[in-house]
Amino acid sequence: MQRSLAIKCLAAGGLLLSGLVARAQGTDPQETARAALGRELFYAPILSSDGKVSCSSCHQQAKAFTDGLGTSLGAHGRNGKRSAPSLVNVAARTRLFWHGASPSLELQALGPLADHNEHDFQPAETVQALKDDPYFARRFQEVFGEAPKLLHLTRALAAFERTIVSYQSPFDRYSAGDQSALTAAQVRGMDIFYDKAECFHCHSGRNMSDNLPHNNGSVLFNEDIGLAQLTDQDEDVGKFITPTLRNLTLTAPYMHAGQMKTLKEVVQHYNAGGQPNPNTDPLVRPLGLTDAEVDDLVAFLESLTDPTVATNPAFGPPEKP
Amino acid sequence: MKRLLSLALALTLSSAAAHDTISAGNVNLEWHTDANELLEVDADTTLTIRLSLPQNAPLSAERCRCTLLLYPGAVSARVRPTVLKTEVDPQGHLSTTITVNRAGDYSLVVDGRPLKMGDFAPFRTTIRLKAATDVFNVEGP
Repeated sequence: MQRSLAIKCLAAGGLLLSGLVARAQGTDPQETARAALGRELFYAPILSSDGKVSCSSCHQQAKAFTDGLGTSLGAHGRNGKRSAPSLVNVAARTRLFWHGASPSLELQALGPLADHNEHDFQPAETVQALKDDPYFARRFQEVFGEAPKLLHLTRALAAFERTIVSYQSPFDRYSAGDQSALTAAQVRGMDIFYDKAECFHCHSGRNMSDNLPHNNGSVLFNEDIGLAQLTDQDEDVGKFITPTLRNLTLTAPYMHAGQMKTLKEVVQHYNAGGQPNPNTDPLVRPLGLTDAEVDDLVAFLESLTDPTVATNPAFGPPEKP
Repeated sequence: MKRLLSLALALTLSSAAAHDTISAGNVNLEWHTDANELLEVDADTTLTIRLSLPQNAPLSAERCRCTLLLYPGAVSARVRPTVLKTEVDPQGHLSTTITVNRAGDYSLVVDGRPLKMGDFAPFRTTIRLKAATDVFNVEGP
């Protein structure tokens, strides 16, 4: 009963969200133009100090806009500290970055651009590179009516990222009434998700995230302090924003630094109750799932993948002018 | 000799002495060290924990996936704890050897999870320990 109500709510929320996004894109030609430019910028390595790193280096379409690495590689081959989060349905997120430092995609875009381990490009250098590029200088004129500016760059990137919407997984089809969309194991796994394992407390809503910070006990000691970077509070050490569960089969490895390689490893981590980190969320506790239940839960998580996200040409690199 | 004296002292203590018994959910932990209930600086100290259920029903540590974490001072997420190696003695008590090199306060986190679900409620509790160089001339915790 609880499960069917939850699924109906998810379906309604998803329709509302996808409707809003579609309406914004369909009725606002300015936003459509910004998104088109943003797509070009997203795939442009010009926005990095070594001329080799673009947003798409770490957010690869084939991997649901992640990169398959535990910690991402940036300009000059430098290793970052965290895993690249998926950008699919990122418009639904209210707190961006693993530690939730940004409330908007526009602000978020500034972080990786300037980060020494990512694009390693200071704002003035970024703008100058765009001004010096005849193609992009012209495109900014067309879309914004003036020369490249940081504000316009972030608006364009954010507009494109908001177009990366995907709700066509087997789970979505099942939620919409197609009883054949999930296997028996996946249905059993869904019951475990919403009942015995209670995953839904944090992985809630259509996008399977409460957008809130938690310490999930994935490590005994957090070298990366997470939310405490912002708050300096001991109780926030090791808290990270709940990631979406969408497209999990494309986004391994898992956790904020790719600590876990497989979905089964993730489920077994939660089944064991996590590590005894002082800040481990009380919701993380031994679950008592049998081996068969672990397998069913993994099967359900796999049903959250929409394969079209990896192939939809609208999200891929634009054709060269 | 000191260890023998400590053992004799421990044996004469009431098993329910308030200062060395902690309740965590439905599990009770009664603990002793062989250094006058302290940790001895620059020496090995053996700490033993006896687990029990309500009505003093014994709970063998073999039924527990127990983790012992030692923090200098108070428990803090900003401090990397030492994960202590544990053994279960023939009486089913959990034991570990602790070596510290500074006098002062320590916190020992005992995290216990049942090997068989439902055997007992998972628990996590903290034992406050004091380390000293001369463990028989210091007031205990």
